[in-house]
Amino acid sequence: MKKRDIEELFVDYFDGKLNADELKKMLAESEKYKNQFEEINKLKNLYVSLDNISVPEPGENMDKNFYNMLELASKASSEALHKRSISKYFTEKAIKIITLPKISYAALLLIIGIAVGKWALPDNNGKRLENLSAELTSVKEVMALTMLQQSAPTDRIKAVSYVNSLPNVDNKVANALIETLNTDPNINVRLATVDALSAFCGNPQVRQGLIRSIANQTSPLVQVALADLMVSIHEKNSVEPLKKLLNEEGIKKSVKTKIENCITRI
Amino acid sequence: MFQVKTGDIEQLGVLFERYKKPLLGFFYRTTRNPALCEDLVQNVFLRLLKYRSTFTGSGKFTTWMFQIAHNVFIDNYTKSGKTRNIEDMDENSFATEQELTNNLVKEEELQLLNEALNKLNSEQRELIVLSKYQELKYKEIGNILNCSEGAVRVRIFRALAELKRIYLELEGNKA
Repeated sequence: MKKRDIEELFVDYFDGKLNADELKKMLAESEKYKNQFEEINKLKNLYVSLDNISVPEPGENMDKNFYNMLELASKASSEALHKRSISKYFTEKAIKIITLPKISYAALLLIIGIAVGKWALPDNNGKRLENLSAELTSVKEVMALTMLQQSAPTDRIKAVSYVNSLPNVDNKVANALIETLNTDPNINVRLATVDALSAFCGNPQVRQGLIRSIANQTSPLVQVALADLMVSIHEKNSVEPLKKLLNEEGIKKSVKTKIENCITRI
Repeated sequence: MFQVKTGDIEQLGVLFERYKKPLLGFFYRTTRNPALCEDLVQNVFLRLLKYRSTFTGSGKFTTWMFQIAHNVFIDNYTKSGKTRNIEDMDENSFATEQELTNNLVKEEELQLLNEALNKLNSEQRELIVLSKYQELKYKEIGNILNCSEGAVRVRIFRALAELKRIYLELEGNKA
């Protein structure tokens, strides 16, 4: 038997696919390895001993760094998708307009001219802009509420990002966001919600909702994000719920230290 | 991975939870550098995300993943010039002399084996790690290392022979 062939088969013996008798038979046919059973057996023992070399457990930061990275990637992907959707929408619209017959172009220009003329009248300008702004806000609120119900976490993160662009939130949207913070199964959605709600802490309903949410959170990242937010808004009513968190079973030491630090700074 | 490829990036979290420990084990056993391992695991997932469009599913996901891990390992090896020598190891990586005296002989043998594994060249060490710890078939390892299954088997045998030689040398030095 050629040297190369028998060396390919030794690993089968190491893996337990060949027994000792089969190995001895193989070795007997080999010029080089004829009397090497003990040596090959020692290699097998060495191979098996490698199982006993242990690996250290992952540190606390590994998970945190990964999920931070994933959150950023997810947001970037959502924004890119949103931009592509808008781009696609306007491209399709432009194509439709370009293919209109000429008479339609003329009619369209006439209508636009009349509309601009009416719009330009000074006594109605401010009111029209105000109405348009209110309508836009309302549309965004409806979109946000609808998308918060979507199954894909990226859609729910997109919904939260719409809220970021609102000047303020009404009770319906505030309640929906607090509900998301308390019940959404995805940690990145909950983190994005804390971030969105931070802009509306002047709203008493939002403030109260955030304080009550502290007790509902089990994820260390969200607990820390809420604690940091309470420090930034100096919310003294959050001290008791934060203290209760410290006594929770299984709370990580790093999270405990962080929350203690936040309590002293509130 | 197909879900990640089609835009559901959150699913990468599922893959992370499933494979973070095997990847950590791979990098710890090949680089022998605990501080570096977690960064290298992160690099693998960054590359999984960046190159998700290239995943075809024609082979197993783990083979593709360890191909990427192998590339990360090689890039790190190329950047650093060499892997850590035993002299560079943190003194807390091994048992103290007192602990060795008190422990069973087997623990002392294990430490020698650890040292011998560290003294292997990086290619041989990686081969042993891939075959022994990552439960990859020899054909899959051949795909990762760009060689035949037969070549993988022979190289593993020779790497073990070299490991034994180093182990005996260390044992002789300690006696």
